[in-house]
Amino acid sequence: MVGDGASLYTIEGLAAGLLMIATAAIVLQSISVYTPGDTHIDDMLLEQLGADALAVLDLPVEPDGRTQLEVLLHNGDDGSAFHEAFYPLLRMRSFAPDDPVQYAASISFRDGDEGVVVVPYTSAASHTGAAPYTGRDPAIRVSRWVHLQAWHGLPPPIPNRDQMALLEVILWRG
Amino acid sequence: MAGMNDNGQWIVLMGFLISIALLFLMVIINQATLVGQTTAEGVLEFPKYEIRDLRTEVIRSFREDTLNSALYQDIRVLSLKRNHAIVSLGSSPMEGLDATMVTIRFNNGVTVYEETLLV
Repeated sequence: MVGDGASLYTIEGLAAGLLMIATAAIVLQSISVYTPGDTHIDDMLLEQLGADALAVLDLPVEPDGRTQLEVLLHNGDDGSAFHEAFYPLLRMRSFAPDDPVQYAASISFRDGDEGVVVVPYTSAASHTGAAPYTGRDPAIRVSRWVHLQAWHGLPPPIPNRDQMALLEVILWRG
Repeated sequence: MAGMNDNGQWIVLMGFLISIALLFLMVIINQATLVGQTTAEGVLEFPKYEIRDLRTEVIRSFREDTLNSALYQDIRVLSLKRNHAIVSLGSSPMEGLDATMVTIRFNNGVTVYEETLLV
């Protein structure tokens, strides 16, 4: 038989329990545990940033004209003009220090019937003296198609024929 | 059992309830981190930019009439080797219209995309 002499104490215990649960919920919701799986969220944002920066470079300067990216690749840019245009897009932030994003770009073209050759193009490291890509930093990759005319000025081994080449950029924070 | 004090049964019961509630909260917190990961993975796996970029280039090359078999081969091989996606392009002139019907197919094993449009 359960006595009913301590009803008030019981209610007080219940209230205290609710209070403790509420406190624990508020405290736990105010912090977030950063697990290794959450790095995907940063990668997602970095991919967005890189793809957008490449899209900005690949906008026609005038209607139906060549894009900035195509113009500088056809001029045989050694990477410095690309760096000038691309790097600030990656790192610029409003009212805050630069975002420490690094990049390494390469150009792939088709060789023979089914072969593919990847040529390193340029990187943040070769212009700013930052550390080159080690392969250990978690990096993401974005790419952009470029229509290269036969008269493009890029150095060998990129062949001088009318072709679609793929500009590939890997991005990481370092 | 005779000398055992059984006055605090309700308090003990409430203690159990609170601990179960805390366990429930812990499960919810665990789920939250998983949800963040799977969402971000889903976005990362979805080749939105690749498809947009491919679409732009294909439409442009059809409009400028620059797409030949060598360029098509470039797109197909580079997509397969570098972006791990099968790309297939098709075109047929429309009867009585000054336009070409272009078909773009893209499949990277996760996302299948097909589009038919008039250029």
